[in-house]
Amino acid sequence: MEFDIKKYANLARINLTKEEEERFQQDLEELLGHVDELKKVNVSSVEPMTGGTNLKNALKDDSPERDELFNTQFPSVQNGYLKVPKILDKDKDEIS
Amino acid sequence: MKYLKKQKSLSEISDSLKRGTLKVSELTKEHLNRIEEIDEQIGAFLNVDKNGALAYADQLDKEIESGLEVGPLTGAQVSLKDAILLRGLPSTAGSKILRDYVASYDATVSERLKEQKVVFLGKNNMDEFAMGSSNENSAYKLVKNPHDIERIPGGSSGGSAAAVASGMVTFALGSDTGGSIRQPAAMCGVVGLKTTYGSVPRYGLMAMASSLDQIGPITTSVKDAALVFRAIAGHTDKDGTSYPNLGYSEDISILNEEKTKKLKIGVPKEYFGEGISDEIKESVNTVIDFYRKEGFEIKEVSLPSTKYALPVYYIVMPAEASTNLARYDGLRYGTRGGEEDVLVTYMRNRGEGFGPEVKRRIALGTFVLSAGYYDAYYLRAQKVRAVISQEFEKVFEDVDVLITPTTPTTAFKIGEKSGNPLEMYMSDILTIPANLAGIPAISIPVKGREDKLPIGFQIMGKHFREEDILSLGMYYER
Repeated sequence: MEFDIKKYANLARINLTKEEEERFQQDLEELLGHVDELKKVNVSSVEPMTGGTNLKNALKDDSPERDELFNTQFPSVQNGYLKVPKILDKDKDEIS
Repeated sequence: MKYLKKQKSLSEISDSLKRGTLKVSELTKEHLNRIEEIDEQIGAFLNVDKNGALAYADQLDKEIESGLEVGPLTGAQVSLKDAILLRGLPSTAGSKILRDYVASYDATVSERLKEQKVVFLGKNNMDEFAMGSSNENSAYKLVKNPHDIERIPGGSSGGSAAAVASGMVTFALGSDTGGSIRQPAAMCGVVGLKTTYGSVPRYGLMAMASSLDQIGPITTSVKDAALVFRAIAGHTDKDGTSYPNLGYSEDISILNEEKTKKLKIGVPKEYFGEGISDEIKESVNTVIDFYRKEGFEIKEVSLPSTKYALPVYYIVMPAEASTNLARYDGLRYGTRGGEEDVLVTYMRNRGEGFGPEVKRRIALGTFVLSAGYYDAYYLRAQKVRAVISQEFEKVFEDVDVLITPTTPTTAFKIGEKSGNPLEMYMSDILTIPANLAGIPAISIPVKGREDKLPIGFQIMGKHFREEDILSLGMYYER
């Protein structure tokens, strides 16, 4: 098992300090050692439990509820639109 | 013990209001004074809505004078864990990343309590995004245990449990993902109910691990827990995991002794093993003896996979949390910071906005879901979760409820375990299994410990059988 804190913090889009990297690397190696216990359980004929319920397709009408209090909570609003920074660049195929 | 205070039960409040011997505004002032007097030491609140509470209390008094029918929760003084939204009040979930966020809508449970005419006093301190067992992970301040302020109150709903134990509120709502209602309730000497998964809507609760999270009450008695549960349970189409047609009885808070005595009690031996303090085992055994003497049928049972609950939890929970917390990207909810490259914004806002425990769990969750490790960790954990859940089903063919301790130890000292995550995680070994299986469970204080640190015993029941665990609890406290 190759756990590298830098790789996963980066995938999760979180800056870590050097101290945090060292500490979390050590903490999580210890924890992953503990969860290795699960390899002892025979699960060959077990279906995974994928959630807390067996309900299926609980759907409802999708009716947006938005008012002034909602708008003021969004950091940037222009002409009634919620404004976010540019995420696509025509010079790049995707965000790195 | 100056931080402990006995307070009025829900039925005492509603009876006095009906008789006209109490005004809601008097009660609200009394509670706000109590908060002002002691919360600087306890730290149970992140936000007190003094003006809102007083204005609403006055309005309620007028409504009662003009003939409003007083219900079981009318006039109760209530606080919510800060991860539960109440429109117009800040909601930070104990995190710096939401320091400027004000809720723009009500959680379904908040709406339901408003219909019941409770007075909201404010929002309770908690471990950041409900990640913790001692409340030391709040980004704002510690919560102290009202029984001994050198000790932690438990977590993650530690502010809510401390607020109830110290008489600041009549009851509070918390959320429980691996024990976050029951563990602090046990350590603060109050009652905490984790409800069946799917019984109480999660709409408006900031999600940590969606397949485990449930909202429930923290109260001073089992009867009050039943009354609050009855008010907040029930289907909503705003939560896709909310069950329709639950059919909970209107009389769930009324003890039927004859019916209760037919409940078969199981005692799972794995919950009395290594790592559980002798004091806790002896104390919970006195409760089992009580039921035995009362003529209940008691049987030793076995849940052999209990030892795998903690490792399963520390895969499933961070996996779900890492996904749920992706929304805190620093682009919405209050403030944003610079307008530079979006990736730089994400990395910085999340790096600075989250505390250590949150970052640790997100990194772990990202790892167990990543290509190459998914099968070995996440999928395997989901399968072992199924094994644990099936063991409960099997044991419930034989008995109706299970009695165990709630926590392995009493409240520990502040700082005692904060340096060692794995040791901290062990605080939840007895509460996690109920979340994995989705079953209801309640923690109730063991009687006769007036000058000692509180100990809680736990009753777990079958899916949607809150009635069983509540009536067995009411039988003990009658």
